[in-house]
Order: sequence, then structure tokens, then C-alpha cells
Amino acid sequence: MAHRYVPRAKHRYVGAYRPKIDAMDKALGRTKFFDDLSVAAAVPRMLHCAILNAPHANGRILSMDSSAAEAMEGVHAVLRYDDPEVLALKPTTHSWTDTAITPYHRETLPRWWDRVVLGDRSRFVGEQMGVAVAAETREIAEEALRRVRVEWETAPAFLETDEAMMEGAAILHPESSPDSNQTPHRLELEAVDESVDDIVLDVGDVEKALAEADAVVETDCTFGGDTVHGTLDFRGVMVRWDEDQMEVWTNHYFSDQVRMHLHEMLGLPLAKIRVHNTNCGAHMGKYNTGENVFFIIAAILSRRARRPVKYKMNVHEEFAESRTAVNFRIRAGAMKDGRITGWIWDGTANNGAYTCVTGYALTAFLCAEGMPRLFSSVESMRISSRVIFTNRLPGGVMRSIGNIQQNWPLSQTVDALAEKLGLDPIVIYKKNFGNPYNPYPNSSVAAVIDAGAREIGWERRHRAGEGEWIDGCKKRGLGMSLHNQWHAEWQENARGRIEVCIRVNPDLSVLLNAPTKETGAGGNSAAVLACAESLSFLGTAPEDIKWIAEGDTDMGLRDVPPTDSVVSFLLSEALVGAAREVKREFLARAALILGLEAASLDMDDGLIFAHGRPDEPLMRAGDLMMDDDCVPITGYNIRDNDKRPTGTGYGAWFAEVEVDTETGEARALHMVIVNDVGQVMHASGAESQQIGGISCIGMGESFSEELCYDRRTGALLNANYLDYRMQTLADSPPVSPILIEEWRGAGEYGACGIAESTTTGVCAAVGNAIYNAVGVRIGRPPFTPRKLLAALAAAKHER
Amino acid sequence: MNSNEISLVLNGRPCRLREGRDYEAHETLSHVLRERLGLTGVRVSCNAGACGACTVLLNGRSVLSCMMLAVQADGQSVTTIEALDSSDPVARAFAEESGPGYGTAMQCGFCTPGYVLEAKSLLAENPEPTREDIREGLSGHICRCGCYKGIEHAVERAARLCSREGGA
Repeated sequence: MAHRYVPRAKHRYVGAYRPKIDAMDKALGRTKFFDDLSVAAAVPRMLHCAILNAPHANGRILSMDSSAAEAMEGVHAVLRYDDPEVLALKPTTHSWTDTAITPYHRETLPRWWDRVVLGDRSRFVGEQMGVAVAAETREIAEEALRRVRVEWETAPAFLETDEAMMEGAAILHPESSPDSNQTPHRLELEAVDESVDDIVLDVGDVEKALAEADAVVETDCTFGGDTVHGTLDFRGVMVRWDEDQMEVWTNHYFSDQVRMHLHEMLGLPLAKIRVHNTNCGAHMGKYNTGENVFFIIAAILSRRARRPVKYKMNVHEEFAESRTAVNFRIRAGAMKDGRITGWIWDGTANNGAYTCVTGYALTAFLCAEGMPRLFSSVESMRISSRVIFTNRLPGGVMRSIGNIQQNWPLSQTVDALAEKLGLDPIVIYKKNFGNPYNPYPNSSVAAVIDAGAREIGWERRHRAGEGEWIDGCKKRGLGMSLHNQWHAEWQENARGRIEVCIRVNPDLSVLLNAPTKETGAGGNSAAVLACAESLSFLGTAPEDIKWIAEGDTDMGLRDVPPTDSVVSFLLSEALVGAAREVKREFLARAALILGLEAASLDMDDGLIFAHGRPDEPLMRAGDLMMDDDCVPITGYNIRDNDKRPTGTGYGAWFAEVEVDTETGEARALHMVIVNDVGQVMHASGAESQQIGGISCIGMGESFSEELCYDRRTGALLNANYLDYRMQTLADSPPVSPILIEEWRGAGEYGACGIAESTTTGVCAAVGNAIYNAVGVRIGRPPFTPRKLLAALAAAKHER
Repeated sequence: MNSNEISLVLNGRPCRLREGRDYEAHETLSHVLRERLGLTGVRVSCNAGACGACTVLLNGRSVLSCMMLAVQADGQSVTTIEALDSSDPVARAFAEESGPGYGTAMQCGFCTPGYVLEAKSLLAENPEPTREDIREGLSGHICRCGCYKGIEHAVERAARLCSREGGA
């Protein structure tokens, strides 16, 4: 059944069910992605760059002979690890966009400068390192790389954290941990002004709380390490030099970050670097980590070859960033009424080969967001953690980072506690979950749970494993999960001020300069609706507005990276002030023409009138410029985020699954997703995010997506879209999206992010539903037939 | 077939491509359409037949243009998304999808041209597809934004629009 959400406040356009502003362009293939702007037909004399992919997990270059590559016809430049210009480059980072160019005091997590541009050392198979080539075609460039002769020193690969800690394992990052593959602990680093990672928290008396609890459960759950973003639009850059100035096109999230990165690494003045970003395809956070080494490599190659150089990842390179694997062992205690009194979270992250944002996925998130906003009522808690380097793919920013690694063990623990106490898990969620900004019981928690339970038919839920048999071999079950929406305005302080500009033409059509990259999240559609809403005094409709699509560092406004799913409401909040400026200028010009004081005038729906006399219009806004000098009216606003803490709303996920106990196959029969977002900015877009969060990554991580490594060499075996099985339409289950406006944030609209959070509780709800169906828990998704059959066999054996 | 030329009807217009100038014998159809002719609505992602983004119509039936050589299109009719305009009922159904309950039929739009052409091919062959026909017919495509409910609903609507207005 389709739920049309009920708006809390009346708006003309904000929150509407409407097509996306660029839907027809997208349907007709007219939207331009990076790869479309850099086709050979459009860029004469363009060269193609290829970078060596390391063949060894632990390799060091002893010597290199690139003469055969340099001599190849069609090769224009070769850049090596021992080139003086390369050796002089500073190491760089893969920190994410909203922190990477902000000053330290605004950071939400520490940065690690552990990436070397064209280094001589590999830490995972496929790492870009050693040597890069620019040639007439990509094929020639790749053939040239094959002709480079390298003498390697190698060491055995290791993929798991216990192997990494064994004596004799190669030390992957001696620059930060000379003797171990464990990253330095926070306490060891506090004395120096360096990056920190592990976080330990100890509040209350957790041992006493557990000893006095009516029920204690222990869970051991791992999430991550098995999946990648699976974007279709591969990352890339094209660089063109004009004398000492460079122009850059990329599908990176944030043109200004690329500009700052090139400035910092190459020492070029900012005014001589122009970066355009284009639309990008379903990156799911991937291009959030931005300071990729290929920007610098392409820039140097282009300058040396005196030709435009394009670099675009191949499918293997595109795979080389995964969801960080995090294991949590939890001990939790609760009283008979369901009140959680204490718990211990002990986490271990398999970092992969580089740090990126693993600390966030592990405990930074838990401390920064989990504690204050998810379960602040729990008085006794201890968190300990460690981060270990291995030769797996580095972790990266993947949709729902941190939240999903936390929600998985959390929901399994709550479900197990509920069973042990003989309670419905809903009772535990309502009793414990919330934040200090909304008195307990939290009204948002209750609203999302009640709506979801109604839709799925939660009253049908039976005790674990006690449902009816279907066809003699199948069983069905229901499960749920809960999490906060986590991206509210006050949390977005780190990204700093936001600029927008509204330019009204003489005919009242509007140019909206609210630059952000359109990744599919729909910040552009939401901005247009909010712009029309704010320009209601002109009678502007969304159709009157042209959104200037491309981020362009020479256009004068800094773009807002579409990270954290917040761009829709952050731009919308900033537009309120820009519209106010437009109105002020309209009234000032009208006052001059009318010979009146501007303060005595007002306007609405395109008519200007004396205050309080809307029925006696003095002039039409549409005549104002046309009858004057036709100079457009521009309203600019730069706005810092509202820092008042407001907490966030919550989201709930409900699943009904069917498990075939003979084949081990599990499938979702119905998924329900409920999100309290404070204010829906664009209903069609928000529901699309809800459906997408379930249908693609959510179902993929539950059932089909799984990276396979060769344990001997450390090589990834299924780095392609045939063997790494992503969901298609034929796999997608029925999804019921439900939007709620219960919680309210700061600002004009009081919204929070939605897109990223939609994936958070999917696997957890499915895992609990599987337990409800057949009484076995799988400690680590995906729930494949192999794992389910093994668990069912073990359970049978135990009985 | 002339050994160093291919003739085809591209988006309704007869054209002749010359080897060396317009294509090379080893180049895929998707490469020639995108890189040489600038028809960038033909999206290339996996380049291995797994994602469906590069779908074009060959004599009205969907094919993966990354999985065939340009020379294999000799003498045939090739339709890319560029042949369509906003009056096309299938494109309209995709663009207008907006819920409630179905979301949209695209988010980023990278894969959408492939879906639109696949849907046109399906509806040309089967004007009244069941939901299962649609799910099966479009299962060779990946929408990583996961807009499957919107896509399914858009194709159902497109079928109705086509039967009313004609012209899948």
C-alpha cells in the first residue's frame, strides 16, 4: 500500500511529490558525466593515462627498467617512482571531503597522510603505484606498462587481523607503527600533535551493572569487508594546461577540494586552477574520499606531455575501496522491564591496507553519535577498540559508514536480550533509545516503530523457529531494527559556511546558483523547490528556475559536497537568506520608481503594494526591471550552520523473510522502511532514497554481494560485475517507504539527512527475521545458502 | 559489405563509416558510438555485458553495444537514446515517475538510457507485459541507486501509454 506522507506544515513546493528537475534529461541520456565530457570526439589531442596496478600484496620495487615503454610509439610521457618531482611530493590522504580541506579545529575525524603518490611500496594487490604512462590510447598506455620491467622484493600476504599481528608479518605502515600492524592508540599519541584513532570510553560501573542485570547476553558480530560501492560511473579526471594554468574536469564530489588539493600538492596559485565537476553516477559515498593520487599523476603527465591527459579507473581500480570490516563483541545487561543498564563494546577493525576513515567506522562514530543520540539512557558503558592493517582493500566511505557497522551488532544484541527477557524488542527500543533533546520515551522512536510495525503486520510475529512450515521445507519470520537519522544541521559544522546566489532575470525567470554535484541524491531538485518556496513573493514556480548544474571553481561560489545526505536541506536553509536579499532589492528599486520609502512597501505573488494593502497593488514585479534598465536582481547569502544541538529523528526497518531449509536460500518477502526526517524536502526523491537503500545495497549486502580473495596472494578474485553479484530488478522485493515528520531540527525547515541512513538497518532487520524464521543467527552478512545451511546443520547437531 | 566500410542506419539516418577514419576493425560498437561519434547517451561501465548501461537497439531489438564489434552492425539499423525526444512515451513514463510509494525511476540517471531502450524493446515485442515479464525483461541491467520499484512502475505505465498513443 502506498503511504502519502502527511506534512506537518503547509508549503507551496517544499516536500512535494514531483518528478526530479532533471528527470527528462536523464531519461534521454542528455545528462553529462565526466566520461561524456572527455570522449575523444570532444577533446582533440587528448592522451590517456594508465597507472601500474601492483601485482603483489606486499611488494617493494628494487629496480625498474622503463626504457621499452618510453620507446613505444604513441607513448608521450612516463612518470616513475624515482622521478625527483615525484619524490618531492608530500604524502596525501583519503580523508573525506567535508574534513579534508577544513582546518583542524573543525574536523570531525583525524586525517592520516599515509598515501604516497607513485610510491615504491605496495600494500594490497592492485594498488596504483610505481609508474604511470600517458599515451595516445588507453590500450597503448596499458601495453607500455606491461613492458616496464620491475624487480620486486615481496613478502607473504595476510588478510585477517590475527595474521597481521603474528610475528614475521610485514609491517605495513612503519611510519606510524614501527613495530606492529596495529595503529597507534589514542593514548600513545596524545602527547604529540598527530592523528589519533582508537577511542576508549568508560562511564559508570559496567561490571556492577552486568552483575546486577536480570539478563545478560553476549554477541559476536562482524559487518563489512565483503562489499564495495559498485558504482557504474568510474572515477576519473582530465587535466589540460594552458601555459602555467590548469583546467580540470572530474566526477569528484567537490570541485573546491580538488582545487585545494592541487594547490597544496603542486604549489600552484588557486586562481590558476579551474576545476569543473560533472554529474556522477551512483557513487554511494565513494568519491567522497577525494585526494586520490591520480589527480597529481594526471596533472604532471599533462604538463610534461603538453597535451590534455585523461585518467579513468578501470574496473579493478574501481573496486579498490570497500566497506570497512568491523567486529564487535558485546556484553549487554538489562532488567526485566527491558531497561538496558550496562554494556561493553569491544571492537576490532580490519583496516585493510590504508587508514582512510576506519576510525570513524569503528568507534569514533559510536562515541560521537551512538552514545549521545542513540542510547544515551544507558548509564554504564565501556568501549574498547583496536585498528589493524592488513592486505585487504582499504576501507572507504560507503553509504551508511559507521552506522551500519554499529547497527548490525546492536540490533542482534537487542533481539537476543528481548528473547531472553521474554519481551518484544520494540519494548526495549522504546524504553532505551533516544537522545537528551527529546524526553523519554522518545516520540520519534515511537513514531517510526509504530508506523513500521503496522505496515509489516508485526502482530503476526511468532517465537523464533515456531512458524508454520510452508511446502514442507520453508519457514517465514519477521525482524526489525532501529537507528537514528544522524545527519542534522548542527552536526554539519565541520563543513563550514555555505554560499548560494539567486539571480532574477528581468522577465522573473531565475538562475539558481546553489552549486553541488548531482550524484542522484537530488540536492538540485530540493534546492529548486526550496528556491521557489522562498521566492513566493515573486510568484516563482519551480519551472521558472534554472539550476546551474556544474560545480566550477571560477564561477565564484564554493560548491557543497553532496556528502552525508544533507545537501538538500543545507542549501535550502541558505536560500532563505538569499531570497530575502532579492526581496530587499526589489522593494528598493520599486521605491525609487514609485517615489516612496522602501520600508513602506511589501510584495507577494509578484505584486508590489503598500504594507498591509495587498489588494491595492502599486506595480507588478515583472515590470520593474523591464521598465527600467533590465539589470537582473541578485541575492547572495553566505550562511554558517545552526549550531544548536537538536538531536535527530529516527529510522526503523522491518523485514519479512522466507528461508528454505533444504537449499539454504533466504529471500525478503516484504521490506518496510520508516524515516522521521523532520521535514521532507522532496517527497518523490526521499521515497526513492528509501526504496533504493533497501533494493540495491541493502539487499545486496544481505544476500548476494561478497568479495572473494585468494588467501595465498591476497588478490581479489571477483573484481568485476559478473562475479560480484549486484541486485537487479528481478531480485528486488516489495518495499513500503514511509516518511514521517515528528522530530524537528533547527532552521527554517528543521530537516535532517535521509539518503545515507536508508541502508543502515536493512541487514539487521533481515538477520533478525531469519532468526525469527529458523532460529539461527549468522554472525556476518551476507546471508548466503552456504552460511545458512552450515548454521542450520550446527543447530540441528546441538539439539 | 565493402571490406573497409560499414553502412548503417543510425538513429534514422543512413550513414557510411570508413575504417581508419571513423572506426577500427577491433573497436566495439559502444566505443565507436561514444568516442568517435560523440553519442554519449550510450553509457559504458563494466564493458563486459554485465550492467546493461550500453544498451542500444539493433533493428529495434536491444543489444549490448559493448559486446559487439562496430563492424557487426554493418547493414543494420542502430538506435541510440539520442533518437528519442521528450514526446517518447517510454522516456516520459521514466521521467514522470514520482510516487507516492514508488519513488522515482532514476536517481543519478547513468543507467537510465539503457533501461529506457530495454523497455522499448520489451514493449515492441510484448505490448502487454505482466509484472514478471518486466522484471525478467529488465534483469540484465543494474541500477545501483536501486530505483527498481520506480522502474517497474514506469514500465507498467509506459505500456499503457504506448497502447494508448502507439509507438514503443
